[in-house]
Amino acid sequence: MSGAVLAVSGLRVRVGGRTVVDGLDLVLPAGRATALVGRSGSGKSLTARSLLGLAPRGAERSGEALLDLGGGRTVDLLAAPPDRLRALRGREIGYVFQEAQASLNPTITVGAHLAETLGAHGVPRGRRRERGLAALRGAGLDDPAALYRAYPFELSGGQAQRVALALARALRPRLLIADEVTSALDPVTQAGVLDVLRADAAGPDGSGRALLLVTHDLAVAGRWADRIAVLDGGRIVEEGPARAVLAAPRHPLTAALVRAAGPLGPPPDPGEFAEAPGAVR
Amino acid sequence: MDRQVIGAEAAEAAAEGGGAGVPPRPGAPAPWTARLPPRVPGGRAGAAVALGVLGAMALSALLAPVLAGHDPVATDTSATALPPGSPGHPLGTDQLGRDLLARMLYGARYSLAVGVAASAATVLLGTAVGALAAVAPRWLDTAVARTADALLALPMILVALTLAAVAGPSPATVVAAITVTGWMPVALIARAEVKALRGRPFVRAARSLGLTRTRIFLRHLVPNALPPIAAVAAFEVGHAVLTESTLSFLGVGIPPNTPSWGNMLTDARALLLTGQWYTVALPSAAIVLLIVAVNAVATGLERRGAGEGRTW
Amino acid sequence: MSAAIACTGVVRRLGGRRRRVEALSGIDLEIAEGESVAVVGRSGSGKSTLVGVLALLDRPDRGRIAVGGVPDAWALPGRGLRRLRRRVGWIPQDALSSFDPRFTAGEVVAEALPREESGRAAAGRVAELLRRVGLDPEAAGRWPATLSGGERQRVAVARALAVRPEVLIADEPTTGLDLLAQDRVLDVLSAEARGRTLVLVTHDLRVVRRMADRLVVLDRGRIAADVPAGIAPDEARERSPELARLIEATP
Repeated sequence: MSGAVLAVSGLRVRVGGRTVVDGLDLVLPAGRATALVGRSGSGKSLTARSLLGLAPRGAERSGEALLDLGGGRTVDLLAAPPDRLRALRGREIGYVFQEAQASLNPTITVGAHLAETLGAHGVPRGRRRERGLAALRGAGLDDPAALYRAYPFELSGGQAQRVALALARALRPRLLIADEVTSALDPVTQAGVLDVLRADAAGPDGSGRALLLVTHDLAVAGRWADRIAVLDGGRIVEEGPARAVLAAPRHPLTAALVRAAGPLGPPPDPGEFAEAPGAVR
Repeated sequence: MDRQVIGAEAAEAAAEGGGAGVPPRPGAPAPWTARLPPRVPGGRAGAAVALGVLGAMALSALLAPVLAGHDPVATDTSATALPPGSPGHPLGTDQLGRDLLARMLYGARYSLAVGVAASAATVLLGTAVGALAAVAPRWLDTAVARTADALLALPMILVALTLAAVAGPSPATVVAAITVTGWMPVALIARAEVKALRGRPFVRAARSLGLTRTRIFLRHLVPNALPPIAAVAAFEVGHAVLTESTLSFLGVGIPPNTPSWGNMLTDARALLLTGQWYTVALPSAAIVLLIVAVNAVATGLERRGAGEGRTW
Repeated sequence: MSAAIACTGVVRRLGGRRRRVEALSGIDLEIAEGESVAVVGRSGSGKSTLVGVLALLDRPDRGRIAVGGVPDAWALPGRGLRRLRRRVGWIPQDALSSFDPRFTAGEVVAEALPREESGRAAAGRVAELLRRVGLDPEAAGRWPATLSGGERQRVAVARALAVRPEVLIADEPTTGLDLLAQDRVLDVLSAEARGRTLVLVTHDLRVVRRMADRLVVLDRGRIAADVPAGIAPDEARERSPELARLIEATP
């Protein structure tokens, strides 16, 4: 596997009689952020969810997606049974998506969410609160103790997104998938969340984590990802280092997206993301 | 952990704007999620069948004089208590020798007429009162709501008996009694629906177009409030038919000899566990069938309303 | 020269009896005819509330709204206020929920046409409006739920144009759309803003750069900055820390 956390080959997903994802190959290297870019309806989210076993009912998946579990062991996500996938989600793969509020149970507190996730993956009762608070702090929330006691409806959109982020990162998974996390947020919160995710892939604590950023916004991809893969017609039509893809797009769709993204500055150095992100109001 | 599944579906629904129940027009390049099966399993087919059943009932009621073959009130002491399948009496006869087929068909006329008339009056009155209260000044709205709540406590039977004492027993009295005691739940639902709709973005958009409040009320609020009201309306039909039988039994409705499904039940109630159980079974089955059919249509209507972009 | 649309001392409070929040705390804003003004701010800054007030849908708790020659819109009798509303074309943030669920795209647009333009003439007008926003007139017969997000947004623009407004108010027209769809919507808005006044609420500074002459920054219900849209980033950072934060965050 040599440094790849996830290797997808020939992913095909059919929904309602139509092949939406048609032979997708993608490698997610350790310590790197890869952006999967495409138009609405191109199948980017479907790809992410298919890898996690969260595809809609009636979806047919085929292909191979090998997740590296360390120590030479791998598991094929597309062949694993549902309980195996459930065990992997959270522990090995963290998933954050657009509708953060919808992923939170409105009847239990934020702290209860964290404790449940941590407990489900074997963290002893005594250490759950401490780890939960650390996760909230790591997601860029100040005053984690107050938020620990809060209910989801008391959170602002940005806070809810960061709580979802904390939940996804709580067990320090090897692979983090962020699915259009930024579309519903204002740029300041968006930047904060992405900074945290990016730091995971690059920083020393991450060591070997991979980040998959699913987005339609090429500018976001350019700023926060190391590699960009463009999805069109159900497969990857262009892939390469972010800087190169933006500077010299080869596929017409990429070129159109680059034009539409407006004037793009040069992507900043990966080293910039090593520090902790700013606090949230 | 499976909260993520729910969340993922919510994300998808949010992304697609909740349009899963609406059929795409041909030639329209719909997003692939629109091709997922609509969330109405059997609902539409069931409603269609139910509509057919109701149509058949209405038709046989209309054609009763043609189909009956006997006078429904004519007694025949030589042919009492005949079982179904007897020559000349396909559904048998009752204790007094009256042909059950004829009584069922003429009974259909009465029960359907009263059921439909009473529920129509109830729904019209309830909807009008409820919808108008929802857009009325606050004091009026509260007054109407509290009145409706208070009237809910009225026992229907007392009202019916009072009406009968004043106006004399008749089908009209039955309809009036049912309406007077039944409009409140409909009004409260209509009021709740219209109030909820007032805050919806599409009503705000109508205001931004400079439309008058009356126009918005009639063109947007009332029509969109109808699906849940239609559901209640349909249930009201069943309720009205059952109520009619009670009132007929108490002598408030039609004279005892004239058949209605309700009073046929009353006549035969002692015979349930005897050899003439069919005298109870026939009208009961008819009432049950009517109620089930009407409810199936109502459910179909309600689901259709849910499919047209109304998200939870 | 009278302003096309202006707020004076506008205050608006939201929330129920217990949790009243001041969403707008004293807004003074004058927009001249023909200007394209972008209003930016993060979530909770009061952008949407300001839209509701400018579109004459929500009455301010204090202050006045002036539109065209009318100094105080809410002082007008019902009829006058309704007519005034038609001088402002409101393009809501979520197009789909702003359409009556029972209407086709064509019916949505047709409803906005003045009474004089009804009947056969209406169909023609609807087709013309749809073409103007870059949609196939065939779309009139389709259900909005079967259109893409960008197409729905453009139907909402067509509806706003149908009232022949002097002022267009677009509330986050690009949010939720992918880049190419955003491009198309902004093309349409650019074209229609010529000869009109445009107020564009957005949180994306890239949209501002492309569409606006002037940039107003809202922060917690107040105007934190009111600068030309073409302002240099360094100067912008000095003028307003909120604006500086937004610039940093824009990819």
